[in-house]
Amino acid sequence: MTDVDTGLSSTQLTLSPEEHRRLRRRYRRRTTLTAYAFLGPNLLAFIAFLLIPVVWLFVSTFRTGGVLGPAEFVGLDNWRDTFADPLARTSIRNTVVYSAMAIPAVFVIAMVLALALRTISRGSALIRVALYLPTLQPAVVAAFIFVFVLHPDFGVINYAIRGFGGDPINFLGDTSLALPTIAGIEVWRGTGFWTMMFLAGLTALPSELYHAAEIDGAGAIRRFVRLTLPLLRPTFYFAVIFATIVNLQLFDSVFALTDGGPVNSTISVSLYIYRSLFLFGDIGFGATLSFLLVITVLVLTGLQTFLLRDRK
Amino acid sequence: MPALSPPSDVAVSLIQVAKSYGAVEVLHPFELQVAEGEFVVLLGPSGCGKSTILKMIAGLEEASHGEIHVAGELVNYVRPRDRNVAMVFQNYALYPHMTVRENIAFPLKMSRQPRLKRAVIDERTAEAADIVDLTPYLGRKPAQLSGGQRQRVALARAIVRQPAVFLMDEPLSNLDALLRADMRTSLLDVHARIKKATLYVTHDQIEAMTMADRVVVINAGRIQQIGQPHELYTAPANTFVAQFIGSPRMPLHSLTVSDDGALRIADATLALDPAVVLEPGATVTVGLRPSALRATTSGSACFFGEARRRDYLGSDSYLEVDLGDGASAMVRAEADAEVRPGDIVHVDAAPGAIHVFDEAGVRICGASVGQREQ
Amino acid sequence: MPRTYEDETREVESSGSAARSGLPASRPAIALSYVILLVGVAIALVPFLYVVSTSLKETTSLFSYPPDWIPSPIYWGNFESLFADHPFVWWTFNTLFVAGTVTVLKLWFDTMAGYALAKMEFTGRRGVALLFLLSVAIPISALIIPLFFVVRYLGLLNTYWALILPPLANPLGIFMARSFIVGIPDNLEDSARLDGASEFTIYRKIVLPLIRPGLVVLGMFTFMLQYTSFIWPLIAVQDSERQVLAVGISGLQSAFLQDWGLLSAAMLLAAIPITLVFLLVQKAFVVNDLSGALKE
Repeated sequence: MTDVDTGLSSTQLTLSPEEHRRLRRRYRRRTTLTAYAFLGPNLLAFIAFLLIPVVWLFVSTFRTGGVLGPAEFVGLDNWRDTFADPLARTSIRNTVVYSAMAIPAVFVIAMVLALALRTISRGSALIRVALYLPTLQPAVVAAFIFVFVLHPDFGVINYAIRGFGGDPINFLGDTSLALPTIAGIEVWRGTGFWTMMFLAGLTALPSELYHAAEIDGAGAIRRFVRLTLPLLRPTFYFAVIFATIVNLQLFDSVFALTDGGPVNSTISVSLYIYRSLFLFGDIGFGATLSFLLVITVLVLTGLQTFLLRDRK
Repeated sequence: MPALSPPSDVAVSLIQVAKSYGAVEVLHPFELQVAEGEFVVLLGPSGCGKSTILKMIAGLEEASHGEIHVAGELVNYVRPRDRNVAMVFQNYALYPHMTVRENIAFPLKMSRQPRLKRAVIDERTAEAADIVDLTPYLGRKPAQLSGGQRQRVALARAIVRQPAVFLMDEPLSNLDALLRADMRTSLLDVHARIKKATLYVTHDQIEAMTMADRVVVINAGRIQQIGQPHELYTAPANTFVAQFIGSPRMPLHSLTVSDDGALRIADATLALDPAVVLEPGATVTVGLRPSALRATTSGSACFFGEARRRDYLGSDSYLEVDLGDGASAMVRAEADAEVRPGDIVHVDAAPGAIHVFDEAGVRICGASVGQREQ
Repeated sequence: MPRTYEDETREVESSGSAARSGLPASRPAIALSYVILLVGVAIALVPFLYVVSTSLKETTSLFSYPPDWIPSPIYWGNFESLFADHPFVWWTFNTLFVAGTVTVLKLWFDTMAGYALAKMEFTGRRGVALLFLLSVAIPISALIIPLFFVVRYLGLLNTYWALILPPLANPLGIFMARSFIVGIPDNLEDSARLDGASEFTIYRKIVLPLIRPGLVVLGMFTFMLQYTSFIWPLIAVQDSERQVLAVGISGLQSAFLQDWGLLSAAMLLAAIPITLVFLLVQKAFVVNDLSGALKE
C-alpha cells in the first residue's frame, strides 16, 4: 500500500540509533532497579534463611564433624551411612505412611463438610468457627488434648469401650496403632483448615454451569463428579502441594506424644533430624537426611505439579 | 522538505514509530503529528493497534522503534508520570476506594514540582468537577455513580492536571447509545473550552465523523488514511476506508475494463476523470456510496433494477437493488416510499457516488454515470 | 482472585452461601447437611470440654472412676500454679509479639514483592518468580540444622530475632499476595502512573487499600502459622522466659511428669488469644479462594 500523507510535515529521527539504545538501556535499568527494590526484603530473607542453608546442607552432606572438631571432607560416606541406617529407612517409611493416611482422610472429611456447609445457610458462620477451632491450636496442644481423649484409664473413648464391655486400647502404646493415631490427631486438627479451603473453592465456582447441568437433568452425585471435581482442580492442586509439604515435616505431635516410640514405630524424618542435631557430634548424617527430605518434597511437588496443573 | 525537529505548534509528533512483540508486528512504522488544540480520532476495528498508539504516547508501552515527542520534547525514555499527558480509559479506571473528590484531586496531590497547596488543590478540583457537572456528587464513591457519571469523573481527573495532551481510549463505548450521544456533545464542549490536543481512540465511525478534526483510519497495524471526516467520506484512500466509513456499508464490485477503456456497470457507462486512463482488460473495483444514490420515479435515472430488500430506518429507507450482471447497490429512498421486493426501481447517482479502486484496493478516482446505452 | 477488587467496586450482593454457587438445595439435603455438620462440630469441640473440665480439677482427682465430668468443687490451683511457678505470661507475650511482628513484616514484604511480580516489567522477572516458587517446596524442618548454625553465626540464638527472621523467608505469602494483586485491573495503576504517582505511591495508595480483604486472609494465615510453630522455636531459644507458648506447654508435660490439670489450664489459656483474633477476622476469612496463589 502506498505511503499515507501524515498531515503536517514529514520528519526524521532526532537521535541516532546508538543514542536510542543507550537511553533505552538506562530507562529499563531504572525500572528493573525499582522492581528489585520491591523484591529486596524477600530476596534478602530468601538468601539468608533459605539459599545459604540449602547450599550449606548440600556441602555438609560430603563432610563430617563441624560441631566440635574441624570439618573434614568424606566424599559419599554420609550418603552411604544414611541409606544403610535402618532407623533412617524406618523414619522415611513412617513419614510416607503417615502422609498417605492423613492427607486423603483429611481431604475427604473436609470436602464432605465443605459441601454440607455450602448447602446450608442458617448457622453457617457459627459452625465454621467451631470447625476451625482445632486448626488454631498448635499441634502439640492438639496432641496433648488427645492424650485425655485416648487415655487407656480415663479417656472418653476407652470409657465408652469399657461401657460396651470391651478391653481398653492403649492407642499410643501399641506399635501398630500409634502412627494411625497420630495421623488421626492431625486429621482432627487439619479438618477445619481444609474445609475452609474447599468451601472457598466451591463458593468461587460459576453458578450458571450448575443451573445448566440441572436443566440437563444431572443428579447431585453426577454433578459433583463431572462438574465440581474438575472445576476444583486449581484448589486441589494448591491443597495437594501444600498438604504434602506440611505433612512430610511431621514432628510436633510425635515429639510431644511418643518421641518416636513405641519401638520407633512413630519416628519421623524430622524427628530423626532433630535428634541428630543434638545427639550426634557429627552433623554430616543429619545434613544428609535433611537434604534427602528437601529432595523428596521437591520431587513430589514437582510430580504433583506435572499431574495436576491446568494444561493450557 | 523534512524538518529536523517538529514545529512548535505540534503537540504530539510520532516519527517512524513501530511496535512489535517479538516477531509479531502489531504496528508498522508510521508518522503522525497532532497540532495544538486539535482533536484527532484514531479509528479502526478492534485489534488494529489503535490503543497501542495511545499507550506508547502515555509511556505504558515502549515503542519498539521511532520517536515520540510531546510538546516538542522526546519522551520515549521519560516515565509516564513525567510525560504531561492524561488518559481516560474505557473502563474509567476510577480508584474505587476513593470518593469522587479524592479521585479528581489525586493527580494534584501527586504533583511534586511544584507541590500544590491544599487550597489550590481544592479550588482546581472544584473547578474540574464544575466543568463536567459533578459538583453534587463529590462526596460519593464510584460504585454509587451511573456509567455516565463515572465517565465524567474520569474526564475531570484528566482535566484537572492541565496536561499538554489528552489521550482517550474508547471512553464512551461502555455507555448505552443515548448516553453516548450526550457524552459526545459534552466531550466536545469540554474540548472547545480547554482546547488541548486530544487523541481519541474508537471503533465507532459515528464518533469519529462527528467529533474529529482529523481521523486516522487504522487496520491491521497500518494507517490507511489520515484526513478530515469529509475527505474520508468523499475520497476514501482505499476499499477498507470506503467500506469502514459510511452506513450502510458500501458494496464493492469487481469490473473488467472493456477494450475501449470504458467501465460499465450493467448498461451504464461510468464517466471517469479525463486524466485517468485505464488499461483495457484490467480488473478494477468499483464502490457505490449508498447515501449518494437515490431511488427516483423519473425515467432519466442512471441505473435501474429490481428491488430485493428494504431497510426502514425512520428518517428514510435503504433499498437493495439488483443492477444486473451480479452488481447490486444500496439506494436511499423516502421513508414512506411504497416499494416492495420485485418492483423495478430507478436510481439517481449524485456526483461522487462512485469510487474506482485498483486491483490492490487503492483508490484511482471518483466517477459519475455517463450515458446509458439504450 | 479478582474478588478482592470487585468487592470494592460493586455493591456486594447479600446472598446466602447456598445461592452463591450451587443450587437451592432440597429439604433432605439440607437436613443431611446439618446432621453431618453437627457431628463434625461435636468431634471438633468435645475434646476441648475435656480440657476445660480437667483444668478445673486437682490432678489427683482425675483418676476417679467413673470420671467426673463436672468438677466439684471447682479447683483454681492449676491456674495459680501456672502463673506462680511458670513464665506463662512471658510465653503468651513472646508468642503474640513474635507472631504479630512476623505477620506485619510478612504482609508488608510479601505485598511489595507480589506487586513487583504481578505488575512490573523487569529483567529477571520469570527467574525470580521461579526461584520463589521452588522455595515454596523446601520444608523448614529440613533446614533446622543449617538455620541453627546461620543464626548462631549471626549471634542471634536465644533472641526474638532468631524467632522473627527465619520465617520471613517463607515465600508462600508472596504468591498469595501476587494473586490478589493480579486481580486489580492494569488500567488502575496505569491511570495512577499517568496521574504522577510513583510505584511506591501506587502500591500504598491504590494496591494496598484494594486488596485489604485478601490481606486479612493472608495475615490470619501467617499469624496462625507463627502461633502454632514449634520445631524452630524449640531449637532457636533455650531460656524458658524467651519461649513461645507451644514449646513452653510441651515443656510442662515432660518436666513435671503428668500434671494434667496444669497442662490443661495452660492449653485453655493458650487457645484464647488466637481464637479472639480469629473471631475478629473470620467474616473476611471464609470467602477467599487461595487456589490461585500458586499460579505462575
